[in-house]
Amino acid sequence: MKTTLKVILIGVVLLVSAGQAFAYPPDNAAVLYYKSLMLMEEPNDALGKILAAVRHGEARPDNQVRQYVERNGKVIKEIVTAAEIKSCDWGLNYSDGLAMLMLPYAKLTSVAFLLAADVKVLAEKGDYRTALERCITIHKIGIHLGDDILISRLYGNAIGGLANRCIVDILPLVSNDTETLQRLRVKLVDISRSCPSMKAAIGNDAKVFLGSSINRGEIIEAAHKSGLSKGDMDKADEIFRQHDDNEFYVRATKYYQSIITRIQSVYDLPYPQAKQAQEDLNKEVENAAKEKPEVFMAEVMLPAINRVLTTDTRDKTQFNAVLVGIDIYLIRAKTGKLPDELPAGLPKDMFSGKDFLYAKTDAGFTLTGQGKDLDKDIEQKYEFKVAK
Amino acid sequence: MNERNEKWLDEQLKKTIDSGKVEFDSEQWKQKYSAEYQELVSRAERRPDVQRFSWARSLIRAAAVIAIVAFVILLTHRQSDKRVEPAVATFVEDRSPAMMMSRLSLTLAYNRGGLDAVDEQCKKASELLGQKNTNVSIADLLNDKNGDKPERNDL
Repeated sequence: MKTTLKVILIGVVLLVSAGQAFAYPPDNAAVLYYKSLMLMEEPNDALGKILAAVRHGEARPDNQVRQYVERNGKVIKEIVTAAEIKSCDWGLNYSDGLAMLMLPYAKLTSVAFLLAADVKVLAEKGDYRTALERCITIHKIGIHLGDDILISRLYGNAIGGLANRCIVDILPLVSNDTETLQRLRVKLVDISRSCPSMKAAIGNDAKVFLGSSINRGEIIEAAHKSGLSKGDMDKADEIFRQHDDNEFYVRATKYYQSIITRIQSVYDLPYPQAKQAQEDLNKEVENAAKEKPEVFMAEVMLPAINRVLTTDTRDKTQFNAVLVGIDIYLIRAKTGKLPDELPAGLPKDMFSGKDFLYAKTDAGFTLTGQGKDLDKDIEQKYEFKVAK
Repeated sequence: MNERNEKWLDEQLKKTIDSGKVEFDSEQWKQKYSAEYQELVSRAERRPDVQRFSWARSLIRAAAVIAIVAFVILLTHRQSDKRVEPAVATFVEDRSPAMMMSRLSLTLAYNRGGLDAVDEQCKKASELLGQKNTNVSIADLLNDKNGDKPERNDL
């Protein structure tokens, strides 16, 4: 009797474990992404140019583009599967600190471009729904890049931007299809909610950086490799010669941590105030650096982190413009005509915190932000076409 | 005994005895002085050993010289390392693809030139691995919908 029970138990364990061993898809999206990066065919230079022209709407997909997408069909399938998996662990070894090996970002960009080419081919075939699904897949790749590392988040947002541009290109083709527009809107709202924040990425990035940078050698190496000017390099040399003790580096990292916390708090403010707060912080650090040598590291790192605020605001504004655009298409699909003015309660221009300025044009309509990208002093204008 | 030695011995005998034509029978001599002959033969046979030994000794001497030279070079090198090592480590450009893809390397690339620089570095790393890259840059990914091409270092 006991033996029979044992046999049954072993049988059950084997059956359960065998099921887990052959489970597909895996519960980690990164496995399929890495597989896709290895198997994806990179276009040659000539085809790369054609693909770029197609992506920018300057050319329609020709046979070369269709064949390229077809040849990568299985890779696209793997990527689509990966994007639907909730968990994505890229296998980064954070304990390696600054020596940690990062992701092959350029390859991930290529994957996003492949999907963008597929969007165009699908749209050309009239399969708009699948084309829009691909756009959502591109968005999900961006989300999967997470918020643990600032560079990953920046790539994630950039890939999300590509997805939005692809969506805007398809929208005129589905402008009468209420169901597709509504479904797309629901998915995009979902995406915007699950998109990792830049604020968190800055904090997490600094945490990893500081966790490892107590090592004096790494800080010195970082300072030397960061492309400092001759003057800054001399200054760095002098600081490191004068302060050859570990306590100095602890003070430097503590100061840097305090600056990062304050940079993060800037992200809670509206853009114009955030920019002002950022400038004030820059001046404060600049002045502090004259008296406290430990401020040097923060002084070196700050300009790069400061750029992120405008980039993040622009990405969010673009996302909101797409959502507002879909709402306007929906009104048109339901009423048969474009609204005369923008309905209340729609997502806003993140540069000003105000509604977009809406205007009808011969081709469709435009949404213009009321605020400006203060780094470049330019307004944000988005064009939406309507199929005649 | 070889032929030359036999000739020389004939010459000597001729000079000493001067008895006209002298025929030296080496076989007979070997038999007569077999003990001496064996001694001579055994000395001759021992000679290669002696040579081998001296060759080995030369080798040891050479090895010792090489070791000393290597030690001196190593010592000099170490000393010169110590001499050039400043308070701050000197910059050595990352060459290994893995090092180029390290967090430090990419963060610094970002600080230097935004995502453009990161992208460039990723591509260089994959080129070193013999992988092909497209000519499309991150700038294309960041292309605004409103047609503004982002400037370099935009991010």
